[in-house]
Amino acid sequence: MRMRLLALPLIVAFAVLILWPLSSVVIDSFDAKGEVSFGNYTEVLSSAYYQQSFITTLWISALTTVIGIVFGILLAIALRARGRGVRRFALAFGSMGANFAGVPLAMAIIILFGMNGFFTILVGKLGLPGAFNVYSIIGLTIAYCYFQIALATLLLTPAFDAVPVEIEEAASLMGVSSARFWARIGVPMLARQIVAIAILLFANAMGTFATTFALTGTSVNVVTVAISSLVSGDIFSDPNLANAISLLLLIVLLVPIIASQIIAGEKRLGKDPSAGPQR
Amino acid sequence: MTLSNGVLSRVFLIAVAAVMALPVVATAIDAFAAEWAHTLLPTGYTTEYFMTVVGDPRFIAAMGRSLTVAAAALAIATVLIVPAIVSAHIYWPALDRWFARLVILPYAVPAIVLVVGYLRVFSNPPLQINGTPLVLVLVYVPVCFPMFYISVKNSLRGLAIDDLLNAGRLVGANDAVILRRVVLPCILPGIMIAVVLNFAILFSEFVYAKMLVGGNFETLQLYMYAQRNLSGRITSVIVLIYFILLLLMTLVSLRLAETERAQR
Amino acid sequence: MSYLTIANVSATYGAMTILDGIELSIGQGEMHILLGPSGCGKTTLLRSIAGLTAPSGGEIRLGDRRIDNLPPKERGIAMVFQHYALFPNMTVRQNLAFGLEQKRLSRAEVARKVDATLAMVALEQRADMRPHQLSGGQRQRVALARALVLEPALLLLDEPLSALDAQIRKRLRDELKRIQRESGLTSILVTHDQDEALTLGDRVSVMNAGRIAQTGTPREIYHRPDSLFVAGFIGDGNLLTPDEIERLTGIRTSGSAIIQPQDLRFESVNGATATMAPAPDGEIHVQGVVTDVSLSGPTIRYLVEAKGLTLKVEAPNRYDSAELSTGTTVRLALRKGDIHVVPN
Repeated sequence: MRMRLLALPLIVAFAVLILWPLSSVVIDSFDAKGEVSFGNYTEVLSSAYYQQSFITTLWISALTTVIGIVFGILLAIALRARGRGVRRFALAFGSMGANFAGVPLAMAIIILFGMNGFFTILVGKLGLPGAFNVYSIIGLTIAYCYFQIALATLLLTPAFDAVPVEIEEAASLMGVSSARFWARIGVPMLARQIVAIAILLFANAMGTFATTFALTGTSVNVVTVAISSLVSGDIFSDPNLANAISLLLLIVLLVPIIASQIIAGEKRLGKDPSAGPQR
Repeated sequence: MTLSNGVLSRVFLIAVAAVMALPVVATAIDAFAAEWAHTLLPTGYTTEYFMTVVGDPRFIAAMGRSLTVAAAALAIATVLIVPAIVSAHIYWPALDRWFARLVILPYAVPAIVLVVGYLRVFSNPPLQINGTPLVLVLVYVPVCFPMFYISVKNSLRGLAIDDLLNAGRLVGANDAVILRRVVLPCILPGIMIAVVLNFAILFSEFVYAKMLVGGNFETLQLYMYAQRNLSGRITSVIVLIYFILLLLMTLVSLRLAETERAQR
Repeated sequence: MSYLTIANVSATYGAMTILDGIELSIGQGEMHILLGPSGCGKTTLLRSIAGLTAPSGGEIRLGDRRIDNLPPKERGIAMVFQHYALFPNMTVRQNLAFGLEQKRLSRAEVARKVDATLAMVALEQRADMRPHQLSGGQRQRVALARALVLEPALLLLDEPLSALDAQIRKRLRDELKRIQRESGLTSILVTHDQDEALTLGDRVSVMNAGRIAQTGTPREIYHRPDSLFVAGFIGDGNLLTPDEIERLTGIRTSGSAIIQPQDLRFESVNGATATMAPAPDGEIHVQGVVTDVSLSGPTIRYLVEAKGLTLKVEAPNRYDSAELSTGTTVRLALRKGDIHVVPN
């Protein structure tokens, strides 16, 4: 059909801007000093440094995903009962929180928790233990939590809004408390969607670079920063190693994402197609 | 009484909102503080630092670059993406399913991974564009895709397109005319929302700007990054200005969404 | 003896008055219908009784307890919703057991009650299925069972049949009536469908604009509407002004009157059997012309033009009955007692 031609320019653009660079990453990852081999992979996988980098990133991503999902669920439930004004405000807040991530968030965190930070001084005045080095994995966890909670709220609120009010009312007439309703019915009802959103949050944290780089530079060893060091052209530069690490990162992200898409797709067959994820 | 309608939920919402607002509030106070060290709140306020930043030619230039790149990328993205989404929605369902999957691309494929690929493929002919603003304009196009897809698709779902096209064919109008004269005006609000939200996203973009272009072309984010180790006041002012811009864009997008809902 | 008493209950939403001083009493074991057009306040009244909406004033008593200040779960009221509101992640059995578990009954006791109730709605075979595997009618039966299993003091049904197909609706309507009679459960059912109201109800309250226009048995409501609104809303009768009545029958009434279509009989056709004999006492004869014929199931509906008025006339639809064609001259007979004057 002739009208399909309208989609052609975008397909070409995607081929050049996504397919081409990605296939270059895949192909070059098997290029070790001019030969086709698994050399880059064996080097990455046997290196204590890069192993640690994956472990650190997985750990911080999993932790902040759990925190984000827990807060996101509680906020989505609390927001459900509020008026339209409050809810719109909260969603705007969430979307800004997601865009605030990166350099500005890192800077705001430093203003709060840095040497002369608001929080650091408050803790000092009160004589409480609690001051910590913001340029560390603790500072990083706080920063990640900020945008993870924002993103989780943004994604979970529409999902929770789709639970019919009638079901909640039916439960309340049966003598079921609200907390019990959500624990036994509301959250299990949405389990698949919550898992899919959790996977997105996890991927979001795994791929974070700007916030990390602006807050801790290269001092905390996370995967994205390790990749950037390998390609940024200083003495550690080794682009082919970067390709191998990138591909390993992609596998870690794509396996759960594709799995959750397949599950969601199966579910969608019988149901009306729900809107895709919103950022 | 209970979590979903009682005092507990209200307190919880307010507490989380307060914590989430804290970084911004602290930044705002810091931006106008004359003296703020070793005390909980500043001892005096001044607009001196604010004026310094606003009057800094480097800041103004960076702002100009960010605006230009975002505008150029958005123009190209709109022209490439909107017709493709409409075409796939009506004529090519198989492609549409792929588009729906691509919405999670920013999560599935982190920018830094694409950077590794871009550094390789755009450093040699035929497309030797690394280090130039052009590379930013191009790589920002896929970044804009998810917002466009969600927003335009949302508008399209509200239209009975097949009926519209059939009605048009019956009165002798071809599809292109119907698309331009009927469908496009109907999805225009959706396109506008996507443009504004994408503007906020591109404005916040750091990874590509830092890794593909770097100091050659200092965008607002790179300027902020470069200033991060200067006086705390200066950084605070920059973050505050950035936040206000973000707020404005969010308000505009909300306003647009409101109008669109009202028109339905 | 009143079991549920609603006294002067009002509800407002913003500046709008949704319920305006509702007074209603319902006897034990009664199936009471709230009937009215959408927006008349019938659902708000139901939700106020359940405690899902807080009325702005008035008193609700159930048995010897005042319940309007109790939280929903302490009122002992069960409710069936239009869209079933089943818990989608639970099986039929778990849906029924969930409410019982809140009462801390023993497991054996829960199982016994669940099985007994499932038998009542004939869903034993479906006990381990999930809601999405059931048809609409089955889902609504599960919802009914889930309400019944708690042995509530009062059962509320909010348009329980509206989401179903016509065939299933009729079957479930009969089943609902049977179950309600067997259990003797005092019930209030909200509907906008007058057939449903007249078939199911022991008594019917017709609502309009936040007030109860009339409460009565289905026969009273149908044959003796006491306001123009009820007369217009129920059935499809001939509602005539005093002048029109006088023109048609020569009788002067004190107000508008309603004549049901089936109360108009064909006395003679084309003057065939007609000796133009004077009407017997208490009967009125009117000459007219058939202008339209339409079949509606068990009856045939005619429009008859008589004395400048268009009257709806209904006759039984039998295969061997002669069908009158348009243009036929007819004589209609009407008993004086069938002219019901609507009080104002």
